[in-house]
Amino acid sequence: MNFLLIGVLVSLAFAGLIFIASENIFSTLLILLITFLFFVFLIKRQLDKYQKKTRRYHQCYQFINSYLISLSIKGSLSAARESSYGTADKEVREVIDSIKDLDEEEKLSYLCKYFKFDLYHLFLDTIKVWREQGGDILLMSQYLINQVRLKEEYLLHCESVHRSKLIEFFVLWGITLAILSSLRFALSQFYTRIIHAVFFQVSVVVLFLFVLLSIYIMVTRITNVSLEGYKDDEK
Amino acid sequence: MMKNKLKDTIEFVGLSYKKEILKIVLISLALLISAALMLYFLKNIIYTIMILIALVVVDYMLLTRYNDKKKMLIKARENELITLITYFEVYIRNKNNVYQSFNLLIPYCSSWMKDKIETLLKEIDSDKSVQPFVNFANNFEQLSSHSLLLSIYQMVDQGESSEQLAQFDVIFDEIARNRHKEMKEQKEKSLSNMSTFPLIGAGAITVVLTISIISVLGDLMNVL
Repeated sequence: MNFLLIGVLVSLAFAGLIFIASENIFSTLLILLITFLFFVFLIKRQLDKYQKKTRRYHQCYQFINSYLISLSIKGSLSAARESSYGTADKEVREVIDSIKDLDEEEKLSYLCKYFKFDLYHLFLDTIKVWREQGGDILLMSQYLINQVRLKEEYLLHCESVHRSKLIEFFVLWGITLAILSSLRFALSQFYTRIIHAVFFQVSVVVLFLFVLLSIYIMVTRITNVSLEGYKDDEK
Repeated sequence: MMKNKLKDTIEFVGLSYKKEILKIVLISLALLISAALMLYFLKNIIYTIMILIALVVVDYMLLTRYNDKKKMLIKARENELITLITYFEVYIRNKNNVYQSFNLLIPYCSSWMKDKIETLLKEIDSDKSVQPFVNFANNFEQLSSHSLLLSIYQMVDQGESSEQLAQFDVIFDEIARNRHKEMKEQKEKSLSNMSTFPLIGAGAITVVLTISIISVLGDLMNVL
């Protein structure tokens, strides 16, 4: 999703609304600039990090599942890797392609730099035990697969809740701001007197800053998804 | 009594009591001075009252945030325990004993949990009774944590038999399911609360317009 474009559109919409509400070019330019910078430097970064984190988890989930199932059928690490390579997306394939020269176990260990989740480490430990002691890999990894699946389910649930709550949030703010701008036409001549008051001008700017604060809190809550082992500052 | 409670809460969340109190006093003083200056120089009672209301709100928020932080920390620790027990289950199923499994959990722990698990392992070395497990469980408030650790002790005591593992599975499954459900509910609740922001915004618009209209009417009355 192009957050920069969304940022530009929201900045322009806010600037338009504040101009209708206050007729003050200074407030309009101020809100336009603040909103744009807010989206570029705060919101875009936060959402990019969140998308990267969840995308990596989906890839990790797919990789672990496919690897373990292939391993149980084919019984060899290289065959399992080849099979999971076939189901992986382009990004994961590129990482695997970049480590062609390593042996199978090294490849798996190297991937923990990409899949920085505790569950991937558990997967590596399970593979290690299987290599050393043998046994039915599906039985050995039954609890691991359950946990990976539960986390994936949780992520999918979060994504669906995010969509519905975001729509609700923006519709409510849309109605509120529409009321503010429609008052200009409803109060007509009376409104021209009101907009000359400093108190009103300041309040309108503060209201738009409050909208930005609420968007920031909303985005923080959305991106606050716990995936054990992963840290946001990681590349 | 209240002071001790506040001190305990502040120290529980890992902050310095003296520094935090100093911070609150300085913020309160700054707001009080602003209110006094507003009244003395601008003679504006409305703004002075607004600053005093802000002072009460800020102080309330500052004083209650420690309790909120404490609750969040307790919850986070309990969540971490459940996550770690998930990993513990994977290790125990992969033919490690209870002691080894706890040891293998250490790389996944926070520093607080690492300290507690290391203490548990040390205590297990010298005391083979249930006591080390009870001591470890006492770090958590949830009753389910206690039953979980007791069932782990029973595994040690009765040689990690399949029957004991099955019993552990039953308790663990229930706790994991509840936690999972709770996580989903928490997510929904935290986002549902966000719809109050537009309502506050709508309320603020009404207040601002009312004040503006009244002041314009006041001006008109003065002219007449």
